Amino acid sequence: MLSNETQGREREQRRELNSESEPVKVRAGQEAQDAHTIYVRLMEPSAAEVSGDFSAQIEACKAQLNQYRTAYVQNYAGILEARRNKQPITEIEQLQAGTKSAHRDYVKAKKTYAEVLVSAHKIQLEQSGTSVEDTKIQLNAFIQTEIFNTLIVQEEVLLQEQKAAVHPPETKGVLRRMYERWDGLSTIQKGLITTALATGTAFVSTALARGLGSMELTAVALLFSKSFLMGISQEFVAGFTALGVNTLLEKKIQESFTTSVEQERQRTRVQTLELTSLRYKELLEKKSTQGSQALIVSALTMLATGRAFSLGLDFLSQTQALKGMTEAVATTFQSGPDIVGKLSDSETLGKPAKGFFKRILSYFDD
Amino acid sequence: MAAEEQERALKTLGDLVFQKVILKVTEVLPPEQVEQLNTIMNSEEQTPGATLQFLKQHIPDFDAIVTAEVAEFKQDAAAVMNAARTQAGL
Repeated sequence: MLSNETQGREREQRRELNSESEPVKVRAGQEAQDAHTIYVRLMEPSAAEVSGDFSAQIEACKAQLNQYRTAYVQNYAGILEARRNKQPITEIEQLQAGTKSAHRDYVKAKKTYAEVLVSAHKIQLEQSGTSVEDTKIQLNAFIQTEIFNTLIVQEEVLLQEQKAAVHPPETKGVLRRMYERWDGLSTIQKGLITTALATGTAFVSTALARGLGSMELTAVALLFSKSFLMGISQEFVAGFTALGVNTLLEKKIQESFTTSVEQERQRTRVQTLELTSLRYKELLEKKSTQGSQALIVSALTMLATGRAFSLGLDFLSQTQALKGMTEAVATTFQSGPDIVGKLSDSETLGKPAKGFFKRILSYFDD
Repeated sequence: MAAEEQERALKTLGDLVFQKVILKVTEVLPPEQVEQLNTIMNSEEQTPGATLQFLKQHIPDFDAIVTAEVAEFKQDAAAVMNAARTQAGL
């Protein structure tokens, strides 16, 4: 089994490590001398670092990565087959343990490759006379673009392709259809679904189930997508936000928000506070229509972005309970009962407004 | 990073996460339900949300599986990026 191969490789690696450390395990006096020898050897620049030619190392890393990826995928294929053949659970668990081990080797190979690529680029910069400060800046950019693209994005794509390839034909068909369907979606729709998948946000699945078109949920979807994607990107791409991602998404949100609000303004031409709230309430009492859905979107967007004044919903600024809503959208919208509780305590909201919020929250129930 | 590149990177992140989750889902879905899933997907335009609903219904711990896949993706990516940063002395 391939997990044994992986284990065999690990044993080999341990032997190599042991053989390097063996010279240190000798009698006193000699021990100090050998430790020094090892230290000097480690501190000497490698041949690649001296020559600036990392091509051999890079090729070796690529080959190793391919090898470990293949082993990982083969382990994965083994599990699929075991499940199809309904093999005993103990056997499947053993296969899963082997796959985990293969996965660890694979990640290690990616890390090694990343380190070599960075070393190569660093030497290149240093040899071209780049200052220490500029080297740091350029290395950072290199990591966030090249390393990210090569070892996160492209490598994941390759891995998924190879994993998909080992599925039986009927499943391959499903996968292909799903990917095609995904590809056919707009960025906004994709953001909506990805966020729903990743956060389990109830309102999204409900919204989808009620036939709300994705365009009506543009602004809200983008807001959730933003918090989700920023959450991912910030964790492993330090300074991703510094690259202007925030600005890009803000721009998109602003564009969609402006469109929604302007459309609604043109449609209703209602400016005053109470009338607007009543209008919302009336619309929401009716069956879900495109108009009422657009209103929900606009209102939620305004809550999230603090632009509550735009549609005459000034009352939002009057309530202490709602001040926090503009800052933590995702958390807020998931804590439905808390909002209702806070709202009912507030004396500044009139009946129509309370009804309005309660109705919005009912859309978030799953 | 130019605006276009940023948009591409963000889009790609979303693509990768979606595909990873779907791959995992088809891995754990019993074979007899794969065919059912095909049918449901065909009707997605008429009944939006049906696919997600079906998956949640037929896959135990669907949400936990999704969370685990996303977490693994983030963890692995972080490991590689951090190794690169350490090597760079950043």
